[in-house]
Amino acid sequence: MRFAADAFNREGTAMTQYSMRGLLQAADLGRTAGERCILHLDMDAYFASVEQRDVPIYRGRPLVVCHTSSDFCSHGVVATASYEARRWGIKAGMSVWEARTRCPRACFVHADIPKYLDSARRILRVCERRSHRVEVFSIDEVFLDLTRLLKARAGDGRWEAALEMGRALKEDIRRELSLTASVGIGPNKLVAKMASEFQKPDGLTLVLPEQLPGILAPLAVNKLVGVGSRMRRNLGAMGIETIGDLARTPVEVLEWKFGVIGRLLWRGAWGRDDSLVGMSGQDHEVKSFGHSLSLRRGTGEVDLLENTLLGLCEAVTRRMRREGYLGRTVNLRLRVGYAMGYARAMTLGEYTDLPSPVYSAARDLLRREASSGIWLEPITTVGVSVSQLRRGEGGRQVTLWDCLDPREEKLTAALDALRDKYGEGVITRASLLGEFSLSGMNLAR
Amino acid sequence: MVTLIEEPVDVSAVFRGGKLSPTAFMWEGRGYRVRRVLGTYRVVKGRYLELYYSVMSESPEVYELRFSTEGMSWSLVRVHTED
Repeated sequence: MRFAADAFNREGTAMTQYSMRGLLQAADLGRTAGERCILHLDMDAYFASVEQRDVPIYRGRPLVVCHTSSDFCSHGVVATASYEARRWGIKAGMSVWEARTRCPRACFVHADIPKYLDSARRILRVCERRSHRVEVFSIDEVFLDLTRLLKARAGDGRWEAALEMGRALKEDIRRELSLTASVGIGPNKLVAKMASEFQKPDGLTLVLPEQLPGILAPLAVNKLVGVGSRMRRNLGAMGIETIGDLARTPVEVLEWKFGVIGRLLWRGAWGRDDSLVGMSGQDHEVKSFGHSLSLRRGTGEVDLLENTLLGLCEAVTRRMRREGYLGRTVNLRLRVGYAMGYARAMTLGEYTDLPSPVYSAARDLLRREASSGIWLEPITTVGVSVSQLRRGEGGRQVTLWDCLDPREEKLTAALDALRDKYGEGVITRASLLGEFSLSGMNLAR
Repeated sequence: MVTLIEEPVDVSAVFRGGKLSPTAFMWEGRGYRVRRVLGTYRVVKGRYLELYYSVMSESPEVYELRFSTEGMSWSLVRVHTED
């Protein structure tokens, strides 16, 4: 299988609205892959490792961290399984019942999201000491852009220095947090992320640009970021079993079959990813407020998605009110399966910081998408953000919504006062009790 | 196995180097000397701060203690025991 360089030049126009979990944006096409050096840090069995660190009796034993409302972890889903538990086939997203069937002697504990967030913040601080540009990708994954740090180095010395930085970063985390991490280094975020999976746990993997064809081509197609089980079946039906097969397939065929996702997958198969490592935690002008929630195995149930949206809208508008912003454009972001992420937006007639108008708009967008037939796989991530912001000083303008339901503003103010005093979890809508309350999002400040 | 307790407990603690650390606690009429603090984290709840400590006494069990600035109170949150 040969990867011809000229095939890289067959890119079409930029597709800014779509992204492959932010990894495969077609922006910034002026850069070439060889110019950059990206490090992806992935904590090993993160939740379980934190518990094993803090509770010695769990070390060396199968440990299952559960998202559950049961005191005895009798139902719910597995959030993380320790490596010892994974030997029994237990993995994230599995029901606790099934995990108990597979390994009755495993230890089952509740996920303690605030504890994991605390460690995640400390990990981020370690990363920020090592790079000028750090992007939090999830609670246990971080991207670091080492390009500027290694600018002075030339040739192989640049990659050796990157490896040394990866080793040092792992050592810092081991020393300061007593946790292990796997590090992948590559010419872009996609390759770095895939590289961090190659040697888990406690791995350190470098993939050079010139190694990409040889390394990617023989891998099963589901090893490509963005290919879930359903997409793998669809590709399998076309005779595409490996990433090499995918790269060899004409992009026009993939586009005809999967639409814009086809092109994104094809780019991924060639190891192409021009997305930048975004900055997090920097002082910058606030352009939007957003929250998203991963739904593990995903769902196509519109009722459940609407309920999730309601919780997200509550959280987003709560932050807006706390920081004194009003917003006008409601954005709904959805991830279908793992590969396809897209967004839809609606602009309201008035600026608002109340949950109801934001939720109404997001729900309308969701219903429209649900009936569009574009969801070939379950929805795995739902996100809501509000943009087109302005400062709310000087009081909020009385809107049509207020005239229709003047009680909401008073109710919201009363809820805010309670939460300011006693914390976010002190009061919630009854419809948000249950699994949504376990996400930890409502605990975040 | 984890057992949820959520009971108020009496705790002796020291302030050292700008940090609060439990040294002993009393639960169900029995005293436990803290031999090791295994981990700590903090949660902000409204105006109040909660500090969590995973501690070990003489036995392998791990006790999770919580200090809340609301009422300046200590609680035993849960106990991790061998099956």
